[in-house]
Amino acid sequence: MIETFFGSSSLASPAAFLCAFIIGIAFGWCLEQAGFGSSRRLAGIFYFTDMAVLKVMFSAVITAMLGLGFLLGTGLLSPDSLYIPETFLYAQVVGGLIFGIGFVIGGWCPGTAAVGLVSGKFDAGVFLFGALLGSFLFNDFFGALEPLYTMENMGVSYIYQLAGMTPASFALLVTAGAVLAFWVSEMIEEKFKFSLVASRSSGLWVFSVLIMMTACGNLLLTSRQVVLVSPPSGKELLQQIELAADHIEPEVYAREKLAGQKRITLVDIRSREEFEEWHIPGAVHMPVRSLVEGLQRFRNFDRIVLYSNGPVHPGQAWVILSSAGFRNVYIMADGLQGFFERVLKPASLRNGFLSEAARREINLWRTMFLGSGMAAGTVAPLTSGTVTGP
Amino acid sequence: MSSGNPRPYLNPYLAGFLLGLTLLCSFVILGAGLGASNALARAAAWCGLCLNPESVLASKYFGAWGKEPLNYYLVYMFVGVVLGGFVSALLSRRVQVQVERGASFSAGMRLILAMLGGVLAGFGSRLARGCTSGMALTGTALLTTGGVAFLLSTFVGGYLMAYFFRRQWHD
Repeated sequence: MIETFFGSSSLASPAAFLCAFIIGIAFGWCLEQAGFGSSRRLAGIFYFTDMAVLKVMFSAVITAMLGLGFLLGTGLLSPDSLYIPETFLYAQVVGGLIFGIGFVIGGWCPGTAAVGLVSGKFDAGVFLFGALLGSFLFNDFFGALEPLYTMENMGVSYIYQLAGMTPASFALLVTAGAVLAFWVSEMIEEKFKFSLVASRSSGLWVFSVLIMMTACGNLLLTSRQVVLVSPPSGKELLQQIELAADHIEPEVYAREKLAGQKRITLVDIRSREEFEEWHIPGAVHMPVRSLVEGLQRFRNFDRIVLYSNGPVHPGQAWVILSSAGFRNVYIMADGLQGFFERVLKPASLRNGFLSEAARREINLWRTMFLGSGMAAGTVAPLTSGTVTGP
Repeated sequence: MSSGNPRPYLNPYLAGFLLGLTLLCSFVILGAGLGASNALARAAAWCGLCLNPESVLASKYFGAWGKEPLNYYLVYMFVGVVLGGFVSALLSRRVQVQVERGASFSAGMRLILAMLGGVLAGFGSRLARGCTSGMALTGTALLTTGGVAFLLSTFVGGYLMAYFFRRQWHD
């Protein structure tokens, strides 16, 4: 398993700064070699005269996407060790529009302008100065912009989840789309003479075949649940159980949710009827028999927390999922019963002394999971008596 | 500046592949993707701190970065980009002082457009929480909804306005 600076919370260490600096050198070198130290070449994409931006950008996206898909799919890299930018749909669409307009007017974007400046382009320096002013403006008007800046917070949101697909099958679709876009760009540049494109672009032939094969390989890899990091043995699983690494306490779950943690998928594995009667807000329903297929798209991405009425079914499912190579599955300790007792039970009904801070926290949990008005209530929405079975 | 003819650019697919490997290294080593505009915003905050520390520290956006906004991995990455770009341009004999534009377009006007574009790009990247590197490239490689939305709207914005600013590239 690879440990990243982000994963070990040391992105602010001198070692991380040094690595970022070295990665930056490679980044700048690639941009310059691609010809992105020229605003004329960059702007070419908007006038269909030079499609280099599309070719380089999509080749880079596909390469990184397929590489990540392989590392995450095989469990070599854990999703928890990656910083995933959150989605704020309105801010990103409006910001993207403004940014795109700035790009076509100025002929640069921030990274390429840095490369342009050191290539001697005076206009790149002016663009960078403008970008500093633009950042200032944003800060000055942040008060007025904040509602837009934070509107429609979707947290960590993946486009393949919206499409209802697995990461690998969506990646294959994107790869096929990119290959198509590459060939169309070549056709545009050659004024739609296919014979010219086909005979000239030997590099494109090789690259197209290579990425399509990798994308198919990734799909095969994940669908067959091949795990390069050997799947945990029975002994390892037992060890994890002994270390209590297989479960998450309900209080810990409530605290993380309250702190805004969005990378937890809560899965209710009771019957459909029980789920519809009441479930923990935010939970998705999935019957036990279809867990392995159903959770495939969350496999080794976000944390998966299983709960049922008691601990038996989630425990059994945990063992099956873990031996199928899932490394991100946890059980809600004590099940729904425990959740009622330890999170939702009003402070006034609890035994023993509770500090003021503890009472406040319980009220916050009740507000979050039951809605306002329930915060200081004295009666639980469902008494634990209605909770039966495993 | 440089002697001899500039070398040809790298094959775009090879350049993109290498850029993708760099991004992948960033994910594997840092646990985070590439970025450029964040460093510019932090440089702006730093300039502000030099001029008027109280108001910058009190401001909600820049203020959150504290007294040392430059102490951040993306700032070091940006310095690397500058160095890597320079070495590459030097070795490929592409360093040439100029205002890049079409032959029939005035340099002064080109600089005004560069400035205007810079302001919009700087502002837009703050609103979107990233630019071509941090949002379009990194976000799309991770298949995040926001990254893809940003990438698409960047192209929509660009193509919508491209016609009005085409003259700056006319020879």
